[in-house]
Amino acid sequence: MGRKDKMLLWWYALAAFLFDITAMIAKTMGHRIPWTGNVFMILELFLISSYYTPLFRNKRNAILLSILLAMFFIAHTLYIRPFNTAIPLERFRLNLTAGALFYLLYIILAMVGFYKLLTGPLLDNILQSRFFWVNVTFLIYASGVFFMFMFAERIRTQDIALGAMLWSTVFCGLNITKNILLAKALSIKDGTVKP
Amino acid sequence: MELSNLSIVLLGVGAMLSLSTGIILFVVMYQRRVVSHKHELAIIQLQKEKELSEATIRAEEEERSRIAAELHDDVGATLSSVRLYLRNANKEGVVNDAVTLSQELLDESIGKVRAISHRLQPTMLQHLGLQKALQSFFDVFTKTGAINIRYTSDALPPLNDAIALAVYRIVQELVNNMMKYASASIANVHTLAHNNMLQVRISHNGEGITEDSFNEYLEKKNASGLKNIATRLKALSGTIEFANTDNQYHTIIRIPL
Repeated sequence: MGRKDKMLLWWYALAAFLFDITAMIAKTMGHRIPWTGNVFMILELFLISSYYTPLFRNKRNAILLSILLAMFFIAHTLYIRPFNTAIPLERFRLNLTAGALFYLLYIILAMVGFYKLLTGPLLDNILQSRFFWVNVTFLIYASGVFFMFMFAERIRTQDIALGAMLWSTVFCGLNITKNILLAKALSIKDGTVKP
Repeated sequence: MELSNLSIVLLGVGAMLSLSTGIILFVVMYQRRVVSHKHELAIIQLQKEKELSEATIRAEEEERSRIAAELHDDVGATLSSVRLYLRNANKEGVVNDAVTLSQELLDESIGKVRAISHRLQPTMLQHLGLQKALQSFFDVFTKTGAINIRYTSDALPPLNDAIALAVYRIVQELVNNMMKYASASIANVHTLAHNNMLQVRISHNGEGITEDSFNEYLEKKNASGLKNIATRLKALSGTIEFANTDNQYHTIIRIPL
């Protein structure tokens, strides 16, 4: 994990920041542009899977898996969901069910990351490793968001107010935690920890 | 009792976060345990290396003492007997150039054997201490006229035998190397004890070596003298440093007391 991988994290942080800002401005102005969430989720998938690709022996398969997941997500958002909804515009709303699949993937990737940390060259202080903090970030964020997204569809159809409340508390809390942990990971300089 | 949607989500998210935290804690604690185990192994390894170095040095010193004793008591005594016979032959009138020459060569050989014996087993070190032994060792070189070695020393605390012998041997090796390779005409040696550390500084006006070249020599097959220095220093947790100032090369040895 070198400078190139750190750049991916910076790109991820920038994308997350731009998405959060866009969502906040739109909400302040009373607009809803929910499709940006779907775009961000696809972007997030490519950035995170690109970050973890060097860990795998067969990098081509890892990339292929990301592409297949993204294609499934797009197909699920555009074509499968309209059969379940009455309003055509709803096809662009945040696809939580397929998104949960992405977060399950991030949990697995973070676990693989921890496994590689424990089986790779021994670090004197793991808390000084950027890769450790990246895994912590994605494991905590993805495990919380995964469960929330699994049930969010059900809540959204049954109780809109509760859905909004959970979004502004649980999801935002997890999002803030992710940003803090990511900032910690990015603050660690290259070569701080020597095996 | 049916759980509300809110409770399901909160409990589920809470459970997932607890699980994640558990995994992270496991990773941190496991890694710390491995690091601690590695450090323990490194300490044991270091201890073993130190014991091995000490045993090597001890065996070497014992062998030197044995050879010194053999030279002094056996070869030296035999040569002295031969000299006695030659003197008697001289008295009995069997005088010729060959006998006289043999006598001279024999005297020279006895002197050399004695010198080698003393070098191998520095009795002066055992009886009079490091400073006197070093002074005596340097005087031998100064008397040859090839080099002038000036020795000065601050008051030293009583040294244990292992440290005194190691310092003597290291200085012996460094001075021998200086005589062989440095082409120096003046050398200054100073010993002092400061902050629980014994320091020996050897300075000369010849060609000295640098830290890099010293480390390079240690990697090579020969250079057993320098390797011995490194082994002795390692056994005593000592250090060697090289410096070059005002056309003077300095070698500084530091050994914790």
